[in-house]
Amino acid sequence: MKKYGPKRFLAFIAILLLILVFVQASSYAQAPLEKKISISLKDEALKTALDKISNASGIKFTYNEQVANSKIKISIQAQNKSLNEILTTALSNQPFKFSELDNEIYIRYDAEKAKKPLADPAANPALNQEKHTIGGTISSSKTGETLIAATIRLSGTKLATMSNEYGFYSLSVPNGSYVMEISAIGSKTLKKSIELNKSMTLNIALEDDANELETVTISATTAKRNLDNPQMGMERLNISETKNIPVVLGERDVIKTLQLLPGVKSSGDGTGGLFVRGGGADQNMILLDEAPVYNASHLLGFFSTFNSDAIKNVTLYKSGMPAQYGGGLSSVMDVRMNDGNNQKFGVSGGVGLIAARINVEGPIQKEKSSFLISARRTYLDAFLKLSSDSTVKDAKLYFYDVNAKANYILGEKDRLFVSAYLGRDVLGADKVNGIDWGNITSTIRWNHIFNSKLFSNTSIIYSNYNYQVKTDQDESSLSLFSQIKDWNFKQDLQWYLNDKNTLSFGLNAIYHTIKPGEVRASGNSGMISQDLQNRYSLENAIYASNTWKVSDAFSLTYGLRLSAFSILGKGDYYNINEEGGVTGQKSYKKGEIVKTYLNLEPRLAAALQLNGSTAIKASYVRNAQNLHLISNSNASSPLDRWVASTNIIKPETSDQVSLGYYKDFAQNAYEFTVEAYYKDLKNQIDYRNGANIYTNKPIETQLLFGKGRAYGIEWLIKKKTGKFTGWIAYTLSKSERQVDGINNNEWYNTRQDRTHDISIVTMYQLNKKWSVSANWVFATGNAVTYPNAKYNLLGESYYYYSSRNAERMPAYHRLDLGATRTLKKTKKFSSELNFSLFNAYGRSNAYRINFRENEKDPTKTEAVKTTLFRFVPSVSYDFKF
Amino acid sequence: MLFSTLFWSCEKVIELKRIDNEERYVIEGTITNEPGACSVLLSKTKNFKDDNDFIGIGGAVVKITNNGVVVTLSESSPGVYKTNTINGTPGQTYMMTVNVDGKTFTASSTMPENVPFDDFYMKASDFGKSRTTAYVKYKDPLERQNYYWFQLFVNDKKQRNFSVMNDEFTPGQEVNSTVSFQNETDDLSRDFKKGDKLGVEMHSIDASAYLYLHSLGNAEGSDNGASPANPISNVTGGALGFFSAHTVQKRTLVIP
Repeated sequence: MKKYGPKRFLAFIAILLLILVFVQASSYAQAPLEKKISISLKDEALKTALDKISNASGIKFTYNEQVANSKIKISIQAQNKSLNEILTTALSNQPFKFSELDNEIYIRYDAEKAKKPLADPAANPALNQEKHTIGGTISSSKTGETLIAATIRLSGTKLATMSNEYGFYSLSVPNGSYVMEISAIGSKTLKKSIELNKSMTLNIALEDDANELETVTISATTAKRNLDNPQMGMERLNISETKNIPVVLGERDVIKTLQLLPGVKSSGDGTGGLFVRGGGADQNMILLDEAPVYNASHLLGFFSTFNSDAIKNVTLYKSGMPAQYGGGLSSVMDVRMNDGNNQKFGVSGGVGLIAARINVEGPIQKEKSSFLISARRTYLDAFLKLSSDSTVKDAKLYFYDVNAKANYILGEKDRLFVSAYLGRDVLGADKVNGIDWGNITSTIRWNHIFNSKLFSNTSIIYSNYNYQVKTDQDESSLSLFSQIKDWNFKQDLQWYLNDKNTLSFGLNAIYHTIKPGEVRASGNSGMISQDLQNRYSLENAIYASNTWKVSDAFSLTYGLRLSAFSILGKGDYYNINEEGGVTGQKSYKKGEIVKTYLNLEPRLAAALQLNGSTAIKASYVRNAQNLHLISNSNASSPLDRWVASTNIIKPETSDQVSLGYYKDFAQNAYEFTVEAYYKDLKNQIDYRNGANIYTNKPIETQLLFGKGRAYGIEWLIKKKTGKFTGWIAYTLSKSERQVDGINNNEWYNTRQDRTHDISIVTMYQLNKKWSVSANWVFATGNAVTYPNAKYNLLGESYYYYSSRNAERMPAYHRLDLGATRTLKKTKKFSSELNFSLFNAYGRSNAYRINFRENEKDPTKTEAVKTTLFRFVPSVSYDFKF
Repeated sequence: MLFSTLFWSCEKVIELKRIDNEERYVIEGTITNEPGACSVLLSKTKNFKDDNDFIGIGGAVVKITNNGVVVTLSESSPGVYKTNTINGTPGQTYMMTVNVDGKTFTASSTMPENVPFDDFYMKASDFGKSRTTAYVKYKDPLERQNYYWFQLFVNDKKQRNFSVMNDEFTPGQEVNSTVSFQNETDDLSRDFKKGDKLGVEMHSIDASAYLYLHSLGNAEGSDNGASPANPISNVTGGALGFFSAHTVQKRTLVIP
């Protein structure tokens, strides 16, 4: 069949890529210790010997005075031997050891070897293995912002760790002197000598990478992907990484950038859904400073609610979610806001074609406290006023959002953060009809460092999503208000028990209040004001998880999350038969427990490092979800209805297994990953055929429940350093549902099922002034239902549908181009212009395809394709001082 | 959708290859309280590329049963079965049986009590060339659940658009509800003008006919991705279409 043509072609490309990767890997990866030389030395002083080896091999050595002044003499006889073999032999009886450090070899004093002749370490391990902990916070020296996921590595050892979401790190190491290497995206790598003979707190400030501000490319960090950490299925984006990727209308956007990564998909032009590994748009737990955001899109999906000026970092978990997260089947998207510059006052902002942004931040008390306020508003509505068409002129169409945050360093060990988000969209077709919707979240967090091993975070979170639909006519008016409101308490602890074990544990309690609909009517329409009953529930969870470094090569994370979802009165709950008819009803008093669902969610992950640059990982994770978006649309409309689990609607669950292969090569300039996954979904929800969305009957009467499965393979090859950076991502996947009562009870494709999905993202730094970028995406068309026949009824022609989502829209593809020109760049002021062209070759991608009678010849039926965006240019101006 | 029209949306007719489907019978059965108005139309689904004309299926045996009285309808033209011996009465349940080609399809429908159609009016300000709204007025009886079907006419020509309502949010109330007449084509000659005659036929229908018509109205899904689905028929045996016993009242107005 014709439609399988591209499939074969793409499979071919995928295989080709794989081969290419391995060829590259073998040709690039010559580490300094692998270098072979021939050399002959006799009783040379250590420093002289090293200089000679250096001359012969071209490999440099790094060492301190202790090595340089050493009186030790060494002899070497080697014919075409690797430096590894040469040094192992030469230093075998000497109190020195060596290891690779970037492209050099690092030689240092080895206390253990020095003691060896005196006592076998096995005889008295306690003495030799005495360990201390070094811990603290990593931040940027320029802004005071804590740095997430900074890598802390002790040079020449395999000991390494990463800072957590609050910049905290902790590392347990044996006594001795070390060179600590701290690196983070967008920062200069810092090397710091430490002498460790007692546990200590060490806060570290990293300087910004001067280049970074200019290059706006994926940062030039040479930090390795965390090969030894069992965490997989994770994508972490520093906000600077999103900066140069061209997007529609020029507003950079973390969600649009995530959609260019494998396994993460959009639903097409002009829609806001985010689909991760075949899951639904509501199956992503989206957190902004830990507060759930129930609708993460503005303007029906053209923008996300995340203003990139205010965002520090985004972490997306596609699988193997850490036990601290729950509530979303498909993914967890953890978005962290900036804390605010505590060093100096600054203003930045930008003006684009349809929106303007401003960001103000600065110290309240220098180095102790800071604030940040970031706001955005579209001014598209100003242009609408210019229109002569009255329906356009009277239209309302705008959104605004505000992020605000303050933080206080209360002392060495305590830090307090207060953050808030407010966003609202207003959309009105004419004077009488309108909808508006938005999220409000606020979070108060307290970080406490008990000691260099134990970190605690306590949060109180408020989150509110609501919308209102209004119609005002001369003699009647009608409005519908709906809301979901959460109060949330979280306690998370991280205990860096020792160098082998890192424990995290905590608890979470959320009180949900859902107002499904408040109808307010007045006038002569006959509509009666009424309220659908509020729904109350309490969602509790406790979790514990341990990452165990079994050996240098193997580590394991095992954890368990126990979630309990209690449906609370006051309210009426129903019994419903198979046809959706109400057969019984029971009323519950205020606070009375209707039902409690317990879910045990195991979280397992393992990583096996095959060598310094290769690892394989596997994970199994179960997730349960108790808030459901009742929607059969794929565009995440603001009016979609959130419902909590009831006696009838059971928690959705997913079990996911995944397996991955990770390789760094060419001195970590490239990274290659492949992940495969299989997901089994239960208690999936869909509307009955013929369901009435606007009903005051129990919502369960309109629903059907079934199961789902999703599986796929994701390839990613990324170039992380140099003038030219970017990635190629390819996903081959399947996502299906089976619901009795839909599609003759047979499996059908979900709307977001995409067989092939390719993204190519490239960024090139031409010179100091210009950088350019381009990305190209290709995806199998959405699965849709087309009519198979037609029939005559009531004198009109109607369509007959046989199987659901069995057809495909035409393939989607598009090229976007972007360019950034730095106008001015001084310490005090910088500015730049961004240009972008969305859909550069004007592909007519199908937004929808519908069927109608031909206007000229009504006896004929035709298919009509609607296209939204072709050639959308934009320009924006950004500044910072 | 407002937003899409504001931006660079464009429409284009495309060629789509459709595989031909197995044929299904289509039944449209109606009994009204008007004397002699009882008809059953029988046809089949057509392939996508066929024309849209009604091609009736003759030779079927079509019966209506009410209170044990069986009336066999006669075929007035191919696929059109009629009788004038039944005068539909509110409160009565009618059973339709269609035998064709060895297959039997049945359906039943109860004619609801008539709800008076009090008024059909429009305000001058609601006039629009491509979209004109008018109001229907009726008093919903509180005692029972009621379902309404408003069929629209422009200059006595039946429109594709229809509107169905229930009384979930308006029980026992005097209802003034809008019905909208639209020219959804690009053909400007079909735009509305002053002096045009608008008409509405109000039908009181039963729950099964409401479910069918409501789901027929949503059958094509929605812009934002609601899946298209076949309407929920009250005909058993695998045929498409519906059978409805309903009351009929018609009102008209002239655009001022």
